[in-house]
Amino acid sequence: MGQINDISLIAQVVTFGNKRAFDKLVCKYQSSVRRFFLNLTCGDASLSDDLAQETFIKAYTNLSSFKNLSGFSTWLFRIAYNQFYDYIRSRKETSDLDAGEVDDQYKVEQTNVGRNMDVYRALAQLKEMERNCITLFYMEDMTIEKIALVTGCPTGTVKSHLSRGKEKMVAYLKQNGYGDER
Amino acid sequence: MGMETRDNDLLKQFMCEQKQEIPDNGFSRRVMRRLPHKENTFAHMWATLCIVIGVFLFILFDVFQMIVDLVRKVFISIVQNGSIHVNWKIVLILFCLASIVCIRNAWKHSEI
Repeated sequence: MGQINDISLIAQVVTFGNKRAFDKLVCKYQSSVRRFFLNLTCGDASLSDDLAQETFIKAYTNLSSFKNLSGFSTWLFRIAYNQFYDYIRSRKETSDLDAGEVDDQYKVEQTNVGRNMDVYRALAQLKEMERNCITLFYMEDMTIEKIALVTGCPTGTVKSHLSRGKEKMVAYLKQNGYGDER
Repeated sequence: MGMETRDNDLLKQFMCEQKQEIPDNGFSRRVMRRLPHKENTFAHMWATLCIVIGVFLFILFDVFQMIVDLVRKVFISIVQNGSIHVNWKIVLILFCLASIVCIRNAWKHSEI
């Protein structure tokens, strides 16, 4: 039902240029996209909002190329994933130019903002790809097949990232007394 | 089996507890403001088609001549009777229609 509604909204945007229909899509998905970025950036709210904005703008400009092969949310998360990796790449290029100064600054920013919540601390233990898979699987309730579509990795690779990520997360949680509470 | 399931449950519960719904707080409005202007070919084609049909009908029924005749008749009746008979109902309806169009346009612009 939700997917049919999405398709009807997309049709209105593509055919009639109805911006209000796109606004409904933004309202519907803003929380999950922003949460996804918050988890990937370990709690950097302003960076997450910037990346989420860029994601929705890219989605709007490329909406006519949406083929509904895997649902709108998967397509949107694929854009979000690419947006994040574009940002990582651009950051790496900048840090190369500035001999690591920007990278150090970014690290401080992450430490300050990301340490408020346990989940960001736990996710910070993971590699980027593991964090990606764990976030999509546990926070966004995506299946392994959908995560494979979002990341462009084979399902086997997603499973191994998930397994490694899970091990690290559980070890961290146990170290911090989470296993004892149960 | 037991250990792995327990670990999985621990992680699931932890992630579920940390999952938060993020309030919009003007985010979607900021996105809508930043959307680029998109050329809508379908809307353009539709408008062009309507204009072409309109011009065709205008020429076919000789609307220009009809307007000239109407103006001439109105002018003659004013000259002959010495006063203009105004139908206030029609004026009120036209005023209401014009107001609705203006308000709608203003609302659309404020949205963008």
